[in-house]
Amino acid sequence: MSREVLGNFELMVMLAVMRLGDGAYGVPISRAIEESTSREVLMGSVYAALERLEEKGLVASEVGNPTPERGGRAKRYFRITKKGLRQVRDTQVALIKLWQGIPALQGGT
Amino acid sequence: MKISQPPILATRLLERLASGPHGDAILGDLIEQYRQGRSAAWYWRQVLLAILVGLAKDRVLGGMAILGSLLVLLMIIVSVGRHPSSLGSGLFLTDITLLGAYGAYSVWVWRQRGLKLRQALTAGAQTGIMLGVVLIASHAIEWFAPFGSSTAVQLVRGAGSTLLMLGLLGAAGSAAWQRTRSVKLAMIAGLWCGAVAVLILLSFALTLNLAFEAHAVAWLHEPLVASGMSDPGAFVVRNSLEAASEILVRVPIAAFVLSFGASLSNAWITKWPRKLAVLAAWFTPLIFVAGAASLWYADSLQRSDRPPFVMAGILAAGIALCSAHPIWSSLSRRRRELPPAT
Repeated sequence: MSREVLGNFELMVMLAVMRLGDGAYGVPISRAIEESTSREVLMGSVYAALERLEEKGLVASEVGNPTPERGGRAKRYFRITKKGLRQVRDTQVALIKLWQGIPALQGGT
Repeated sequence: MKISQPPILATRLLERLASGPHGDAILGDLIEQYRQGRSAAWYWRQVLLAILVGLAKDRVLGGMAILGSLLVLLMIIVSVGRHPSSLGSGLFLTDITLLGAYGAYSVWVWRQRGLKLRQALTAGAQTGIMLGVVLIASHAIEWFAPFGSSTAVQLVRGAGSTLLMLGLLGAAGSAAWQRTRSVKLAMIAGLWCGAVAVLILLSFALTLNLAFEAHAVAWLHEPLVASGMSDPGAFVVRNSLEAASEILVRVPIAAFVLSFGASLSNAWITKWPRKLAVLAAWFTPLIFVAGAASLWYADSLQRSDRPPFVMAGILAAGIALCSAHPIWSSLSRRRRELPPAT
């Protein structure tokens, strides 16, 4: 298992990127997190997390075409790398292990 | 159909102050969401917090230093506003001008994107934070120590923090040279180290003065009586302005000289064989002690009675301080490069 540890928010961003597939850029990523947490998400925090993940080689990005509804600015599309996928799986395994056998979390709503 | 325009000032702010490689994408995302029905208040909140998040994650600390310069400037203006009679010596204008220069340097640093330059500036910022902590600790000891604490303690505190400061300014230049192999970038890093440390110290010291003015008046009682000023608060402010103008000038000069010396020293020592570097590691503390002892002795004499070897003492201590980081890094690098023992 990799020694890197994903933070809570970084994991959410990675999962949102995976869920969105080819259409993963800032707006749908932040919306996906907002819908799952029911809290407003700061675009600056989303990009700060994406920048960290990109530096660690867990996500990669490429620039799309500029569009008028974005004031002539291009979208930046993100996708998960193989290393990133491995990292998410490792984190999932670790969390499931920790999750199991805690009475307070069994069968609750 | 008319397209709604987001608040232009917020857009311009983010354009100017966004850091990192995704500044343009963030702005595009915010404009897109605004046009889909988000409010102007939401847009402003997102822009301001995106700028703050950008400032916090910036490792060269350019944005933090811009805020630091503004904070120090604001505190000086508030202090002078509370005690207008502290004005009149030209110190206020000197400090404002110097802080403007620090702010301009911070803006320049903030805007740099070159890899090598950012590596050098990161070395400067890291060393600058260390130096800032040392200077804060020294100031706090001086400020909170009981009045009349022994001269020896104050001497050790003053000399210790000054020597650490000189050593760290040299270390900034040496570390930057090691990352970039450029003397010019090493000097930029040294200056940045000094600027970061000075802004940290001034933010701390001026906050103390504003928050605990009565303590500051008691602390400066003797010089206040000697000055003949009738307003103790104004004397404290004038004293702060004087100290600020000194440190705002002296630290960059020291940084310039020491980072230059240390980067040259690192470039030279890197070529030495290991045995010579080990020998230097043993001899450098002796050179430093000899230099410091001659300065200590000179300090006990009247200026006119001081012998000419005092200058040699300054030179010896300076050479030792400039060599400390290069020798240490040269030895530690070679240790890492040694083949594993069989």
